[in-house]
Amino acid sequence: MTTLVGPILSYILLYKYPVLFVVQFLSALIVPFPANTTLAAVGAFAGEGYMSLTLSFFISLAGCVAGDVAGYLIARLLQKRVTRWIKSERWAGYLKRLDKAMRRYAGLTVFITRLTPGLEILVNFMAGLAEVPFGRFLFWDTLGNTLNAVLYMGAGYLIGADWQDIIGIFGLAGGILLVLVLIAATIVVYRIVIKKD
Amino acid sequence: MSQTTDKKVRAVLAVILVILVVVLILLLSVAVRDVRRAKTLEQADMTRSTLSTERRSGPLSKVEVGDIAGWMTFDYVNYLFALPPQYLETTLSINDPAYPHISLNGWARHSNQNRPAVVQAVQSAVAAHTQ
Repeated sequence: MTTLVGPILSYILLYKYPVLFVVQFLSALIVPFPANTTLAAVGAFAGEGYMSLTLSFFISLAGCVAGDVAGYLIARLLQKRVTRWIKSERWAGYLKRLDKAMRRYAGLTVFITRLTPGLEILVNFMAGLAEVPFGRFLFWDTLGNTLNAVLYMGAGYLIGADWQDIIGIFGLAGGILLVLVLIAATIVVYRIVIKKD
Repeated sequence: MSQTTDKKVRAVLAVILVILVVVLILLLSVAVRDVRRAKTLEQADMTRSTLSTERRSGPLSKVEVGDIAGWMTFDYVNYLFALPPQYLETTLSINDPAYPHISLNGWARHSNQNRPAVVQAVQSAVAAHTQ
């Protein structure tokens, strides 16, 4: 268990739902908190009857979505500044084509990256910079976060006290998915670079 | 100039791609090893459960005394093991006003005690009650 998990779990046991919301919000926005480990632990607490499964699920989902939306909105506010900051025509061209690709695959990208912690934060900012329509972002974000919460909390709920063992399995699966997404992203960026205007 | 930039970017992306593929192969090999290990354990577990007629309900595993950890709060420990609220307070002579809403590590810090020793003391007290 990482050094951060212990204190976070203590605070969740002490203050329950408000802390759960804050942890999920901050981890979705920018702070690298172990959000999925927390979800599995909360699932286990719910399985033991110490917390409510339904309430925990909706609170954590609300925290995740709120954090993602905050990241998206911050990027949208900074969008013009970032465009002005990139002065090189060549790099501006890359960015323009990257924006286009991001808008084209927005739904799939947002959905899949909800299952890959770390990339999620980057994609929120990219979606904001590329001005992906808010409704579309919110829909896929909520769907992806719902699946993520169901997976981790459900596993914690069903497995119970041995929730710490499943984290390794989920971590490995998440790692494989992360690498696959990065390969796909590298191929997309490669095609954008070789594509001539 | 622009063609040089293109070439550089392409070279960097190609290197990244190769690294990612290598990492993917490594992760997949670890996953295959873990799945094989899990299957062996599952088979052993199935043999045991066939011998036992006991049926399980609720979560697959429950917290045992040995699972008690420093991040747990006294309230949570009391709840898990159905202890009377004042049992640990009396047994361990806890004078902290925050009890039971304090973690084992928190109490160790407040009372200048060694964390593993506190966890050990709580485990022993719980074991004594449950026996």
